[in-house]
Amino acid sequence: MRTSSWSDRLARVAGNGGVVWLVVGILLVIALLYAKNFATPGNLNNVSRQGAILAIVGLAQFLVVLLGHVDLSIAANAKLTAILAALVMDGSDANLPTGILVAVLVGIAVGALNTLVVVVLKVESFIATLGTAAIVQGVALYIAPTPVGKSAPALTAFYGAQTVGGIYVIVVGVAVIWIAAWFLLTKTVWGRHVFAAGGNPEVAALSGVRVPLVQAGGFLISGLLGGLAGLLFLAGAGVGDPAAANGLEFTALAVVVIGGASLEGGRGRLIGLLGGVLLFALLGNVFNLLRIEVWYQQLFRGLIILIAAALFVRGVSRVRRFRRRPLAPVPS
Amino acid sequence: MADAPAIQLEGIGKTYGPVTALDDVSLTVHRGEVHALMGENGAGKSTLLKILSGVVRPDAGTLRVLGEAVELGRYTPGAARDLGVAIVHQEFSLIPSLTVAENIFLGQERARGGVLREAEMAARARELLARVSASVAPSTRVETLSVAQAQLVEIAKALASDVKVIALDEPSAVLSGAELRGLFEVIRALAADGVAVLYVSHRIDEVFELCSRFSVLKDGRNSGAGAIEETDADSLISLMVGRSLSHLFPPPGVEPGSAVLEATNLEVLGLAAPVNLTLRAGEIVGLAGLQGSGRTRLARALFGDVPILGGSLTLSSSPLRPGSPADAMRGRIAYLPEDRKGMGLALDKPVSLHISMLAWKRLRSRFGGIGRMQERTLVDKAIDALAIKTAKGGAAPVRTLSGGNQQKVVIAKWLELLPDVIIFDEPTRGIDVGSKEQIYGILRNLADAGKAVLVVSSELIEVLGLSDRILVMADGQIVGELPGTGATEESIMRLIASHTTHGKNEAAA
Repeated sequence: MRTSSWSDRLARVAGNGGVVWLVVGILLVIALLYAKNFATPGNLNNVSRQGAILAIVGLAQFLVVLLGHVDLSIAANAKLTAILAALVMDGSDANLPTGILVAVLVGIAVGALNTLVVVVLKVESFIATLGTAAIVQGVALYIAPTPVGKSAPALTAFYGAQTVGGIYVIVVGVAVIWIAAWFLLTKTVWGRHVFAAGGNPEVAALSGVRVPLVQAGGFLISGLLGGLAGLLFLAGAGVGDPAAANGLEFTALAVVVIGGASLEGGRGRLIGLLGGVLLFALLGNVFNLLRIEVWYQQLFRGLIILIAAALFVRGVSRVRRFRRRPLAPVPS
Repeated sequence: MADAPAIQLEGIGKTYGPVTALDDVSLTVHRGEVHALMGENGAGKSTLLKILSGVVRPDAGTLRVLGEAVELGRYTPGAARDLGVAIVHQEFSLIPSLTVAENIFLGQERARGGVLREAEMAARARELLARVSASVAPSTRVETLSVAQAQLVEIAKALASDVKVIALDEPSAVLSGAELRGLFEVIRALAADGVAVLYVSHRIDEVFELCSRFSVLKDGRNSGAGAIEETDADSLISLMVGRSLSHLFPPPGVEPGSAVLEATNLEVLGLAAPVNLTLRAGEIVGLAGLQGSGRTRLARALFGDVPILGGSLTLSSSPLRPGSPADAMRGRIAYLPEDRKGMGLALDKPVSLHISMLAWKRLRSRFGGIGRMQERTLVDKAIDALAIKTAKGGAAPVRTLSGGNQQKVVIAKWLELLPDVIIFDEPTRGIDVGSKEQIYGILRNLADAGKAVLVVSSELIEVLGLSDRILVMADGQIVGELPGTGATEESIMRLIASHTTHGKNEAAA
């Protein structure tokens, strides 16, 4: 039993997001020591802006994972949103409000579609959102086989806008969204019900939690955030690019798991998620600065995901043991 | 107000398909009393509780809460709570990943404009926890609590709304002696505050210690009710079982033969002390103990399903170290799990498949397939031998059989292993009295036929009635052995209690 106690402890630390911050710290030290241009304001700002989109989709995935589901449609959602918003804006600031409105509505519509399939029709979310993702992606590619439309100049300018000290306005905006998410999840009845519905939906329902409504809220917010991510892609690329956000749904899932959230639902902390987002944002940057080949970076990411997943399995088995009465330890 | 009963159920009926769960059942509980609801497994206690908690809607009958008629068509769990009716279920109704305070107020959070009032809830949680004498902090995560603490937290959760009636569904099943005393204190204090307590149990001694009135259900009907002080254990048992106990169990059989399975200083993962035990041919050995005492763990270790760390195990004098159930089965050890539906049966598969699956190797025909005719003969023989109520040929899915007949199918399956040692884990859980009697008979016949039989059970009556020898477990070790004749529920409980629980700080484990 002694061997399992240290791994239990490790799993607990991982669940709190401790391990991911340790890895982030190690990466920072390596970067500071070996990558000359890393600590420059220009580079750091660059990294933060690259991480902004991941922070948004990671947050969307995190919310759904807390509910015990996954949302694999986030990337397709962002892609379709970027394309439709680009077409609506058509390079004119006059169309900017309509474009933003379209982005928000498309995002929420994808969320509503997921709600219909997962919450109302009770299809397992992994396969359900895989299906909705394929449909949404198909629509996006039908509309735009090649890049279409054009971002409103104001939106592109906003993407490049910096506050005092050179911090991008977008990064500040994402931080505000995160603070709002933190408040919602930890300080409100709804947030409490998210954790309860993810922890055990039957018990939550018997306690008077309206589980389907809570789940619907999660998928709708995830859809909305997916739409916002689409706007950010459009702002950065300037056109509605059908290649935007490719594979992002799994990156979003990876940062959630690395951040210590349980795919079984009910467990996860934003501080861990932030560590996961930072880690993935920094990895690319540091590896590029060190001129390490791309495939090493892929290898490293894969290893991190596997290690996180292995720790997560231990965490879950610890939870399952709860149902049995703790047994007396074996004398050694 | 003091005159109106807290709960008045009348003429309650409920059927599930062809099965009648409750038939014209009435139950009255007054404020300030602890009322025992008794009955065997399957007598309808759980269904009645589910109706009371608004989870199940009855087909017939009326409910009055504090004299007010309740429309049962609109009676939901939420409505029950609003009326002050709370149920502490047997299964956990807490969410392990949330804290104690979060669980207590789940679904009834104190909030202003959707924003939680944490300090207020923590303070109120502390009051509630003090009321149930639970020494846990509101900010503790439930998954780190012991089962006893978790149970107290569940009661605190029930008390969080203004509770008038609280029903506890077999709370003692998971508690040790000292923990149970604490729970009784809490229950008495609640009753003294004017709360009506409905205490569901089938343990006679508890009921006499705690309750003032009783109602007994048998086969979904009222079989008796009254004041505890005007009755005695024997009459309660005959109300529950419908006949005197001595008729339920078969008489002891043949003299035990030679030792078949012997464990010497057997160290099992998760048990507190090495185990010594001997199972002899022709003998039924009972393994008694509270839930969590390690009964099932020991049984599954013998079956190769829990790692054995040291010591020796011999089967008919040759050493055996089962590393997997397949190893144990090769040694002709059979194990019938307590979770019959989850682990013992494929519910949608036909009876015949279950009965023949362990005999397939023997049934192999000349062409390498399974001989259909031989299989059919074997299945029909087993259906006859164990009097399984199903059509010949066994084509019916197991799901369509009653609990007792399902268990007989499991027994028939394992007999085809031609075992020397048969381990029954809770052989009659969820089975009606009639089938119980038949299964007891089967067990005795197996022993008389020279098999070594080990019966693991939480029902002391069963262990006492059936066993030639009784091993008692507590806190992960065997704490004593009693002869089958002469042992009483009291002597077993005394053995368990005398082994003081060294589990006060188990919460951290």
